[in-house]
Amino acid sequence: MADGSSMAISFAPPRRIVRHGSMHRLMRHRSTVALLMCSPLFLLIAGLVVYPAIYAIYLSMLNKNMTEFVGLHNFAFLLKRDTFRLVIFQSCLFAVSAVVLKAFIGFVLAHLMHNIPSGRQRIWRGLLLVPWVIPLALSTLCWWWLFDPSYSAFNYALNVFGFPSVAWLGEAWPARLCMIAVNVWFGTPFFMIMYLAALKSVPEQLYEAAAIDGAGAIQKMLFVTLPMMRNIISITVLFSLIVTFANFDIVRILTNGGPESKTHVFATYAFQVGIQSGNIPLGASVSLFMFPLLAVFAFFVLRNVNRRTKEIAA
Amino acid sequence: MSGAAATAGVLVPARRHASLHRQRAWALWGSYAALGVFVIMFLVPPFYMVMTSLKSPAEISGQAGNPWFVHHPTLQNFIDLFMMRDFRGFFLNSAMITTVTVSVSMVISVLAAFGLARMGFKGSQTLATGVFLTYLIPNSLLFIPLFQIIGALGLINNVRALALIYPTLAVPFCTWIMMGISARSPASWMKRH
Repeated sequence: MADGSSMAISFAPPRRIVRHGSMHRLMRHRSTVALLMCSPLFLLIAGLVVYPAIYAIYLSMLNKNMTEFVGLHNFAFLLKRDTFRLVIFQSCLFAVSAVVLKAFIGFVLAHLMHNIPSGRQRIWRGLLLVPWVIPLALSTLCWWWLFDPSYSAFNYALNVFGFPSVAWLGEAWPARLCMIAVNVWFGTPFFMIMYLAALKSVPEQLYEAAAIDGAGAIQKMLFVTLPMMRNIISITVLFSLIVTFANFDIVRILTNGGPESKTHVFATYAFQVGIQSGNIPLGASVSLFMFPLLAVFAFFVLRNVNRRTKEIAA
Repeated sequence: MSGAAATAGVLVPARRHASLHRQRAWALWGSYAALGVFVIMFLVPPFYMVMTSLKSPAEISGQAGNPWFVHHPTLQNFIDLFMMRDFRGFFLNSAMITTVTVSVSMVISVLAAFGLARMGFKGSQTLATGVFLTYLIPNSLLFIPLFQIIGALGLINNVRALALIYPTLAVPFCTWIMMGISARSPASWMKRH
């Protein structure tokens, strides 16, 4: 920021003196400075995001010892394995249900928050943001204690109410639901904050106009709130879907893919195959698997968002 | 007809006002109650974490009584932790990595956001979209090639590798947020005349 302000000051005098002819040159100068300011970002992105992404595609087409080019053989091999088909199913189940639940609960929470006077919102917002603030690896560890089969807090509570203990992480379906629950717990506050910001930006006049036209609460929600929040909803859902598909910490700490690989998702499976078992090309193929689908989804969501933004601007 | 409507119109607002008021109050208290339920659900793990941290090892391995509350609170765990030489090292590592990550990503993203949002040059819009799009590349896709790259740099099992990786993951998002902020900040000091 300091650089920016000093630059603005140093630019002012020459402009005042030579107003006409050198405007073009100045603009060019200015854009070089702007490019220079952006260059660290571009270097970082090119070196540690774009290059690795392309490198991952290259890696995924090598054989196990990375000596031979095998084309799409790794993907075909993966698709034939039952474990990997299970991984696809689990990843989709995990990501889609977690994102839907997060979006829904976040939406409800944002509305509840919007109902209470703004002076009181601060403390409630702070309390509800706690899950998002604790490092995910540590809070997942705490969830792991809570899910402990023998003498866990959850099982104790169940026993008090007369229910039998549950092997939370020992069986496939309870473990899958636990993973989703932890992810929802962690991710909902983010949705709440985004939706609350969106709700606050809806002009009050729209609701008044709707009320004059005789709209009830549900109609106001359907025809005023939802259309106004559509862009925020689609962008948060898109981001969250990508991040949730890439989730690693929760599965790794809670179940480490077990029992019998029935809770692996793409990231943990790629880690196990690629880094722990040392088959880097196969691991790269696993991690690449979801990318085309996500890219297509992202393309359509962003195109719609762009179109709506233009409509609002027009 | 019109007379009746007029007298009704005089009477109705007061009653309607009262019922509206009552409805608002109900909505308010309902919101508080629902929020309270959510807060309790959200705070279960942190609460349990605090409770467990205050238990002695004997109490945990005893497996008796209600695990939700601590029966003989002790600060011994914290004292032991701070006495541990290893832990001090871990703590310093975390603090250092955080400081480096935050400062590096702030410098890079503030500079870039300012350049992209305020000093618009040819193609800056496209580049801004490009930055936004890199955030769409999932981390899980990057970690295997990054493992290879870090290996080639000889930084495996080295704390310094994290100072390289974390800013990479944080910078696109920071830039995106900062671009919104610098586009909105007052432009007066950037005026041409």
